[in-house]
This record gives sequence, C-alpha cells and structure tokens, in this order.
Amino acid sequence: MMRLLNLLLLSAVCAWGFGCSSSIETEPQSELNVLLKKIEQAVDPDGVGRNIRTMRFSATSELVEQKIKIQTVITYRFPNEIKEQVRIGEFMEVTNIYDGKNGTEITKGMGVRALSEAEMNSKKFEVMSSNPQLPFDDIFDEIILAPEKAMINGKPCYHLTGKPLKSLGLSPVQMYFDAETYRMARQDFIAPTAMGNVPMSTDTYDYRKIDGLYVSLKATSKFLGTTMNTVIEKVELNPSLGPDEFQVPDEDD
Amino acid sequence: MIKTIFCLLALFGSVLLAGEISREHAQAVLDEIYGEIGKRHFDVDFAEKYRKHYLKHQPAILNAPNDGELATALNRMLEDFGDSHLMVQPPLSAAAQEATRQLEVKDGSSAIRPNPPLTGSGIDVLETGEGILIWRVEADSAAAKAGLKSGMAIQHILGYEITPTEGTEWFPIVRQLADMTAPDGLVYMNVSDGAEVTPVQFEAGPVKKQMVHFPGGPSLRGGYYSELRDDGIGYICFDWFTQEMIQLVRRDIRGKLKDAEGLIIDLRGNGGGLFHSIDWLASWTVPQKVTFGSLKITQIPLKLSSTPQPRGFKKKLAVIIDKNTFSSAEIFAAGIQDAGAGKIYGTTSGGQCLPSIFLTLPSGFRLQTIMGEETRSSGERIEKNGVTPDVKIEATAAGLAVGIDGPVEKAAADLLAAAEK
Repeated sequence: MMRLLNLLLLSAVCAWGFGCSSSIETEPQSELNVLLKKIEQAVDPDGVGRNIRTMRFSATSELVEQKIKIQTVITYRFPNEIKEQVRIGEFMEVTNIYDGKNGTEITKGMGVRALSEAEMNSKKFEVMSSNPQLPFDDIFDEIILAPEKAMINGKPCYHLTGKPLKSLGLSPVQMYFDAETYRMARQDFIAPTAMGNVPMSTDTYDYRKIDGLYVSLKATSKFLGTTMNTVIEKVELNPSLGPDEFQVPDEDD
Repeated sequence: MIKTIFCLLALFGSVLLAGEISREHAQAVLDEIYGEIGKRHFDVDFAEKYRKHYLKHQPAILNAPNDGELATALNRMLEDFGDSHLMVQPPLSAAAQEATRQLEVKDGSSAIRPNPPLTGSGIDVLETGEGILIWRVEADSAAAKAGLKSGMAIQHILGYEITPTEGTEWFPIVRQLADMTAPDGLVYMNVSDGAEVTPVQFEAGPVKKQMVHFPGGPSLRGGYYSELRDDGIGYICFDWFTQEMIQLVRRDIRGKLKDAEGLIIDLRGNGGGLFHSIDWLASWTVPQKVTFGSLKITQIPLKLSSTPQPRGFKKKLAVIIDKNTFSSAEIFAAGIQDAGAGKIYGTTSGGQCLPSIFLTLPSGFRLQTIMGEETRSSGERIEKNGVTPDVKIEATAAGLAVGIDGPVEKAAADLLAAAEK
C-alpha cells in the first residue's frame, strides 16, 4: 500500500491546475473556445504565466482514515523537468526525477528504480499540465465539452473531457470547472503507476492569488478506497534552481 | 497474525474502558465497523453475504457493557467472517496508553505486564510438531544467564499452560509473553529438555530486539539476525517486513554477505508487514525480476514487481517458512517459488494473506481491515491455503539442542551443492 501511496500521491498533489497561456484567439469563437479562454483567464488574469520558468510547491497531506501525514515538495523546470520528493510519516522517503528523457525513483535506504515508459509519459503530462505557458491545445489532442453541466460539491460545473496527446498514451482526463469562477473543481483521471493503472479523483478548492497566479491551495483526493486531504503550504514561482537539481543522486549509504 | 498479537495488547486496553455504554452507542459502532469493512472488502457482495454474521452477533454486541467488551464482541463477529486481517481495538486515549504501560492485568489465572522497550527475556521461539521450542537464546541475555538453551520446550510461561488446544495460536502468545513479566518483575517458565521439566525464573534484562512501527498501526517487537556461516552461506532472519528490516538486508548484501556462496532467508515466525517491503527484499536478494502475483484493491488489478539492484545478491536463494509465516512473508515466498527464483523449505505457511490497513474510526475504535485480495501468479490464493514448501522439513528439539536447525542445514547443503555445480 505504501508503495502505491507514494506513486499516487504525486499524481494527486499535481492535479491542481492547467496551463493558462492562450493560443486559441484565432480559433472560431465556439462555446468551447470561449470557455477555455475564461478558464485560462481565471487562473492567470494578468498574464504572468508567460514569465514563469521554474516553480516549486510544498504540501502536507493526510490520509484521513489512517491519520498518516505526508510531506511533498514538487519542483518544475519547464518545459521538461520535474522532481517530486515525498516523505510518508517516519516510514519512507521517495524522490522521483524526470528530466525529459529519463525517469528515476529513489527510495531512501532501499534502492533505485527506473520509471516505466507509462510513468514517464505521466510525468511529462504532469509537467505540461502544470506549465503556465502552455495552452490547452498543446496539452490535449482534443477537448470535448459535455452538453450538460455537472454538479460538483453542490456547484454547477462545466464538464470537459481532455484527450492527452496521443504520443503519451494516457487515458482521457475528466475535468470539471466551476461555472461561476471558471476554476477547476474536480479532475478524474487514470494514474499510471509501477503496479498498474489506478483511477483517481481530486477535488481542488481554496484558490488564492499568488504572485498574480490563482492556485488551488487545498485538495481532496480519492483513490483505492482511501481519502487524502492536501494543503499547499508554499508556492514559489521562478525559484532559483541549481544545475544539478534534476540529476539523479548517487545511491546513498 | 496481527489479530492474535492484538489479543494480548487488547487485554491491557480493555480494563481501562469500563465506563458503561448505551445500546445506541454499540449499534453505531457495529454499523461503523461493518460499513468500513464492506467499503474495502474484496467481495463486492459483502453486505449481503456477511449479513448473517451481523445479525447473529448483534444481540451480544448491543449488550456489551463497555467499550472493551464491545471490542471483544465485535471481534467474535469478525472471527466468524473467516477472513484474516480483521481486528477491532477499543479507543485508547493518550492517558490510557500511559496508564496501560504501568498497569498490571489480572486475567483470572495470571498477572502480567509488558517490559519496557529493549528489555525482555532474550529468547526467540519456534513452533514445531514438538510444541513451542526455544529457537535461539541471545548471548548475555537474562534467559542465557538463567540457563535456557535452544531446543528446550516451553510448557508453562507466566501462568499460561502451553498445551495443544484447538483454535489457540500459542506461538504469537508465547512470543509476546516472553517479553513480559509477572508483577514482581520476574519471568516464570517451565521448560523441558526432553528428559525432565525444570521451573525457571529470572529477571528480564537488556535485549537487542527493537520496536518496529507500522504506518497507522501498532508498534511491535522485532528482531533481525544475519551471519556469514562457516560454510560460506549467508543467513538472514527477521520478524517483520518493514523498511528498517529491508535496509538491514541491503546493508548486509552489500557488506558481510556480498561474497556468500548462497543465501538463506529464514521467514519462520515472520508475521509479514509492509507490502512495499516485499519487492525491495527481492530487489536485493534475487538477480531476476520477480512479480508477486496479483493484488486487487477496490476491484482494481495491480502487480508488484521487484527491481533487481546492480549491487544486489547474484547467487542462489533459499527461503524457509513455517506455519507461523504470514501475510507479506507468504507473498514473498510464493513469488520466489512461482518465479523459480529459489527453493522453499520448511512447512506450509499460515495462509493469512490479505492486504490490509489500519484505520482510526470517528468513534475512536481502531480497525485493521482487508483492503483487497491477493492471488499468486498461478492464480491460487494464499489466504487459507498457505504456501507449500518445495522441501518439507522441520526443526527438531534434539537437533536444536546440538546446534542443528534442520531446514537451515538442508537449505545450506543444497545451496553449496548448487554453487559447486
């Protein structure tokens, strides 16, 4: 379970938003394109996203029923690199590094594992979907707007189905955006892990403006019968990163 | 396995929970427990199929006078479910936990109390057809000073008479009692060397066994032992599958056992533990990728596989199991057997093998519950069937008394023969 947990946790904590740069102005003003524009503006009303090159989130999560605390730090250097560090209670410390070509998981004191192709594609998607410079149509091959709004946590939401770039081989993502604020309320997706594909649902809320960007600071994720609450404690935009930030460290002793 | 271990732990908790409770409270806790188990149980028809047990036990549960008795009544219902890894413990406040440590409990026949961490008798026990035997005696321990030796059979300990009894799992009970004392601070035992029964009493002393911690669950005593035998075979034995234990395996595989001619992993008495440790144990001890059957959680199929480590052990592996090998330890043994990655020695394992988690419920009751189903690569379930060894062999009291542990010697001989080839 703990193995799965750390694999899924990363997906859960990463699921707070999508890119916000707009490249759809030249497209016909369909209902979908108007909606996407509003969604992008809801995240980045001042257009600060285009200047973001690196990003770091620090979060604390709790497995509700098990009362286990989890610390997570996720660092991005766009367009390709991501490092995810997870400490589960006193029991386990796992780091995943993906540099755009290779992916490695290091479990402290235990060993090193190369990420599978599916896991690396998932990392690639995580970096893309967190990149404030990328528009929706650089992340998805196709986005479909459901004709009816869905009720999520008592609020009407637009329901979009995003089909990730075919080259990534990932399952479609179900996204629900609040019809009033245009901010993401829920995301359902299949997380590829070393043990197989796991369905996951993450509700995002408590959006705050940080350095011009609206970021969800709280999330509740459900997977494999488990509920996890996450609080984003620190958001750093354009933090200074060393050249070896995404290098795989030597095996520790 | 954890269930049996909780039996004694629960003894301490229950006496602190003598406050009266209402039938409404008991009903609410029953529904909470039943609902939580049903949410994660591998049988999608759980609510319907297990309802008869709910109805059978409901009257006794509703009549429980306090939370301690309520937990006991709930556990009787869970036993009827017939699945392993189901256990309820009553709420235990921080104050109660502190009081528990200092409490002396009367169970009608004996009074016992747990030793502080890092103190105890210093013996490891083994269950064979000859009873509960002393397996190892820690050098310089209280037991060693009292004259206890490998191969002696424990017939009586701290008021408990160890006799074959239908349905009683004596091994985990004796293992726990060996780390407890009477209120006067002494350990009382009757041991037999085959010829005569000797009463022994001694004060508990320092021991090497540490407390190991399970995420969201209990802390239990656990030991790790390794050596490079004189014949060049590496030997590793540990009580629980935890991160700490696997780190010690990794240390030894890269250190004192790196040039061993073969490796024995002795899982007799191993109660299992963290699922996550299974793959890492194989990653360090088997040069090929091993897949540990199929795990289904909330009907989602998953597979756990090892990642052979560059500095991992490269030679032949043998695994020893017995009827007190449970859970993650069984999954490991089955995976090795199914992958042809090593030979299994000993006796059929305990067959208690369902993935589980520990929950603290809103009522404060603590629940260990099944979260899925495990099947081995062949499609068979380990639960209720156990793992059947390739070579059936058991330690004997006479052998242990002269330093010969049958399964270890047989495995070592086979590994050496394979190495010579």
